[in-house]
Amino acid sequence: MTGKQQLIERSTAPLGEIQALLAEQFIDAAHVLAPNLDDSQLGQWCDHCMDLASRSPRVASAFMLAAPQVLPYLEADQLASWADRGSRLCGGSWKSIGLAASFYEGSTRLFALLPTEAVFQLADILRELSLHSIETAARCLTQASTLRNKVPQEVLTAFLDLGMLVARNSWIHATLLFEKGPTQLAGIAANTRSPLLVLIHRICTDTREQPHGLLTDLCDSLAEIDTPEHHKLVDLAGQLALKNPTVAAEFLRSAGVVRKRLSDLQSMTLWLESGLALLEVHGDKTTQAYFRIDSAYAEEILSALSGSVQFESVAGVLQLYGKALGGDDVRLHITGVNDHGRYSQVQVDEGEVVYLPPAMDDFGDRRANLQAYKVSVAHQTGRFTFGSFEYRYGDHGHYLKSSTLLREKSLPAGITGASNLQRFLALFPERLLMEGLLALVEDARVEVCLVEEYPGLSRSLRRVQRHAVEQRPELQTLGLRQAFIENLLRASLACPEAIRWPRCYMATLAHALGILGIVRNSDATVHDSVEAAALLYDISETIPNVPSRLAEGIWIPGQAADIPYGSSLPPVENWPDGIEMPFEPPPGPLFRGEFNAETVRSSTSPDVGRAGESSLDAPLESVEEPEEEADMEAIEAGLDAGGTDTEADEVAEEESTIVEWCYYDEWDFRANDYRKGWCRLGQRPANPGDLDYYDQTLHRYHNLVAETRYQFELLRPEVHRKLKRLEDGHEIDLDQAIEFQIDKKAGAGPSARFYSRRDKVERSVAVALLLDMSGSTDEALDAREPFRDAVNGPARIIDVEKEATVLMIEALEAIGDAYGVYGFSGYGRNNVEFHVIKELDEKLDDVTKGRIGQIEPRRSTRMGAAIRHARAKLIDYPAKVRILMLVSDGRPQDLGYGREASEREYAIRDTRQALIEGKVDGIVPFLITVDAQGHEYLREMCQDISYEVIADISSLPRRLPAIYADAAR
Amino acid sequence: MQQQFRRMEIEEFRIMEEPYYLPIADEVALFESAYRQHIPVLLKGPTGCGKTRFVEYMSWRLHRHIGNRDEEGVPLITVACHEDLTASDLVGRYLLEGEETRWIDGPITRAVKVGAICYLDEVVEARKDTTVLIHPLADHRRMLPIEKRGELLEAADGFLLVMSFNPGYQSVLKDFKHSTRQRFIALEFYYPSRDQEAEIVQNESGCPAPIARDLAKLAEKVRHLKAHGLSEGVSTRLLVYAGKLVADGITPLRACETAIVWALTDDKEVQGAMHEVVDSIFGE
Ligand SMILES: Nc1ncnc2c1ncn2[C@@H]1O[C@H](COP(=O)(O)OP(=O)(O)OP(=O)(O)O)[C@@H](O)[C@H]1O
Ligand SMILES: [Mg+2]
Repeated sequence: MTGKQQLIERSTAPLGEIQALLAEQFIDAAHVLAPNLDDSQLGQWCDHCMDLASRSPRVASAFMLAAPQVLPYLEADQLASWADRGSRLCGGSWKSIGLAASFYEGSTRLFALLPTEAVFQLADILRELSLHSIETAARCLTQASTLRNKVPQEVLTAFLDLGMLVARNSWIHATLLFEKGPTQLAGIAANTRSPLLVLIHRICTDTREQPHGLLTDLCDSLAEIDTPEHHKLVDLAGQLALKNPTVAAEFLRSAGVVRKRLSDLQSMTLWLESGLALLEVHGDKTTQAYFRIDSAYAEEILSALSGSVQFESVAGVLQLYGKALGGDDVRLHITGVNDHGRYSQVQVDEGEVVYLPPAMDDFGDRRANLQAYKVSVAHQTGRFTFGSFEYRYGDHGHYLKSSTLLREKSLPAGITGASNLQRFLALFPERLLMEGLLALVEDARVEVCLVEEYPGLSRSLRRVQRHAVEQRPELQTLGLRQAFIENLLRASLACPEAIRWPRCYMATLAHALGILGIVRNSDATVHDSVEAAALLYDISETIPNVPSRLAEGIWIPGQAADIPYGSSLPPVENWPDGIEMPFEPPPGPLFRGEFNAETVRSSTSPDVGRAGESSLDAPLESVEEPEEEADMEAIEAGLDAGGTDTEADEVAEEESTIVEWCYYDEWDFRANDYRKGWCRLGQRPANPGDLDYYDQTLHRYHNLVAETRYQFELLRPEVHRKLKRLEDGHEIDLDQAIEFQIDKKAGAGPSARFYSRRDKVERSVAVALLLDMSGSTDEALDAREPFRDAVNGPARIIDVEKEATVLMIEALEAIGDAYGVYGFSGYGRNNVEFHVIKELDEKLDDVTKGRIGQIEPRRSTRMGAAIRHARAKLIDYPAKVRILMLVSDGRPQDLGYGREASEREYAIRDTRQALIEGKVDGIVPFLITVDAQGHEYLREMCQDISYEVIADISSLPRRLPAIYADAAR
Repeated sequence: MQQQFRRMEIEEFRIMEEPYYLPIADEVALFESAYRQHIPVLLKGPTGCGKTRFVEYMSWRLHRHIGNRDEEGVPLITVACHEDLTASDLVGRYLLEGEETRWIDGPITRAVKVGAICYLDEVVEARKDTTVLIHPLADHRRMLPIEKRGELLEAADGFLLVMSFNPGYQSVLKDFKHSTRQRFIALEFYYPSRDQEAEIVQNESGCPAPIARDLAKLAEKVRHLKAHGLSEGVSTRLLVYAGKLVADGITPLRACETAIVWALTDDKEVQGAMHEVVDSIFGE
């Protein structure tokens, strides 16, 4: 018997005693292994079998079955390491037995997939994890068998190193790392994956940051950047990490966003260097804020480095610029650009919408890009100021006579359209063609007006026009008719030099250019544009949209023919024959926005009554809307029955707090009378909270807080105002006393009011601040401040309202006026919610402060009742001046607050009525809205009530105290 | 030493040269009618839109055209109201001269006596008890009680009470009593149209016509910003200033910057927007 045979036999019997099957499996495996191992290795193996069997036959069995299969993947001396690692997984519990068994069972597969070292590393990770959670270890083991497919060889080691770190420092995230990590890494340039992992490892080792979280952040950030640049950036971060790992992490975290704003990697390096300089001088907190783009300095550097202008960075100025140029109704709408080179979100909307891209980087320097924004705003508002929408069907232009009568004749009867312009467009069978032509002609006219109205913009307009021409499609790839129109478009951009057209058809183009030239006269009107477009339509219609190559001869530049106001007939041409391509007018350049012929402005409606008016004239329906009533009942039923729906839940929640119910009338403008006791308002204390929110806000705005406090304190001196002309007092007013003496001497019934008194006159002002807590305040401020709060997501309107409230409170405390803070919302007339954050006579304390943080968006906006309730509070308060400030995000809106959901008249009239009631009682109302579209309804609601529209919501915290100071001066 | 200034009694002040005034609507006819009918007039309007100028012009014009019995025409007596203005300040007071006391008429009394236009500027600023004083003067009685002398003065025929106020920027603490308000007819002033304003600016400042037109255009744009950061639109007065600076050789950009952008607001954002508008019109 050989030594090996003896070794085997020595173990067989004890194993058999444990389990007969074990002995069999042992012998089978041993015979396969024996030839490949030397004596001592075999002996070790046998010992392992014995040891495992004594702890768990199941594990031993798995081990023995796996051993012959893994052997091909291992050096003979590695077998023991493998065995060891498995056995270390096996603790006492049945869970750990399962883990160890699965490890052995899965080993063959793992070895087939991964290098030996990696499997061992993995086993070590599992061991570490198993100390914390065996389930987690087991899950990671399962995930690991899919690793090879996702993680390339060279990255494996780094990945598993990171895995080990996770297992040690934040084992909870291990599963995530194994599940998600490989996919996340797939988005990183192949040559950068392992450096990135190494970097993360280093950062996390030093900072104890959570590795998987960081990995996720960095992968997300890098995904925004083209892969060829990944390596360089990670390399830069690596160098930075040598100095300060946290800062390096922040650098990479924001790299995606920063890179988007900068034009090249070079600028990224400069960005990094400025941060480094900061690190040396100001230390890491400041530098972290810098790389988070959380500091003004960071913004400054970024804008200095990037020629591109982010809309956000100039939003305030541009918005006001648009309003200045085009008036109140102008709204800027920021939208991306789709594949067809058009703005992706076009709204058919009331108001004057100006479309702008989120960033402007057409030009190298900032100023030029800002100018480009301005040109775009000026052009688009120009349509409104220069009368593009003032077309009246059938009117003549200055240069061209109306052709409507003639055109109507050649058409079947019954031309209609919702607006004058649409009625006109309906005269043309190829509507798309006509719309395209009209847009380009009218845009050309508007641009001529622009130059006249804003001479200071003309250079920039030129630049923008030239740039637009450079972006135009290649002429000869278009169909012939399209190429024709494309040429007209280039001419409309005042770049006739970019025109190319077959020499043999030049007469037609020249004629068309002549017609287009008509609108270049500064006194041309939209009627000229419309008629010029019609003439161009007649010409274009004759041109077949065949592939351009079918046109014979060379393409040459062209010039306008001199045609006296389109009077001459266009030349007759022999157009090429061929199969026509599908026709679509070439899209206009982006800066011109959307010339939407569908845009129906009320002023251009044909002379039928407007929709709104006719509904007013309609006979009054019964006030009690059956549907609405039904809804109400449903709600009430919900209230009583305490059903399981959310409404009832909320009711239940509310029942725990004390709700005081009050009833208020509501104004029905149709009946011209009140609906008595129509609304039920429930007053309740707002939810309690801790001080964190309040303090954080103070901290965030500490500069502004200090500034407003200071300014409000300046208002305060009135507290010690000198009261003059009193009959009794502390001091004698010399002027008055002399006058008194003289009067006495003259015997002229003197007035003895010559005392003055430095009196502590209480500023007798009380203000109720009423906050809109409607659901719509949940809206984010269009991701304006992406870095504002990584935890809570972008700020919402309500957040700004809350911040403004905190500031306002600080200011009011400084001046010492009495104030109450309330929020309102609700649903339906029976459940107007009125949340008390602070009563007028309540002191500001931790409880009241805590409530502010808890203000959250709720439901609808029934303003009237809320105003009436606040008014009741103010009336009872002894103050000389009483102010009601209402901050809201939009128009009043609630279930049954108006005939149908879309009707706003009712709500507006009731709100107005409520405000007037307050005014009658000597309460000064002031409305503030953060709804940029709010001006119109405010105008209606507040005819003689002060109001302010805050277009840039984020300025509310700054504006609110200022407005108050102004009002309560 | 020679006197560098001219001294005169207030009732001697009349406007001898025709002030430049461009009528905006029918305000001239309305005022003349009110004057004939002894109806007091309240001029409402934003600051710098021509209220004072209008009164000056009317005083000159009435003097010329109505041809009062007094050869010297209709004087204009202006009182700037402030919160410390007392009744004595308006009506008059006793002064001490040696051992004697002497009565001195206040501006209103003088206006009542000579039949002048008495113009109370920014009248809401005055204390309410002072404002009440003019009540008997401002209705059919046309009487001024002089309490200290126990006298009652009946206003001379040419007397007219005119007040001005700017409904925009006064604070909520200040408003008229209705009993004061309803003793006046009100003329509402607003900024002139673009063409009219250009004419005014050119005339007043002596700047070139194209500049005046552009200034008026600028004003129109800037006024859109009212309630969007500006509490008051730009006044004709500021435009005239800008025009004067240009006439004196300052570049239009700088002139607008100083006379309009910076003058109007301290808010950086609004300044920024206005600057861009100025640049769009006057820029290179
Ligand atoms: N219609 C006008 N005709 C001529 N000049 C005018 C006219 N309107 C305004 N102005 C010019 O505007 C300037 C300011 O006008 P004025 O001083 O009369 O304003 P105001 O309305 O009295 O302002 P405030 O309320 O601030 O006293 C005048 O000096 C004048 O140059
Ligand atoms: Mg004045």
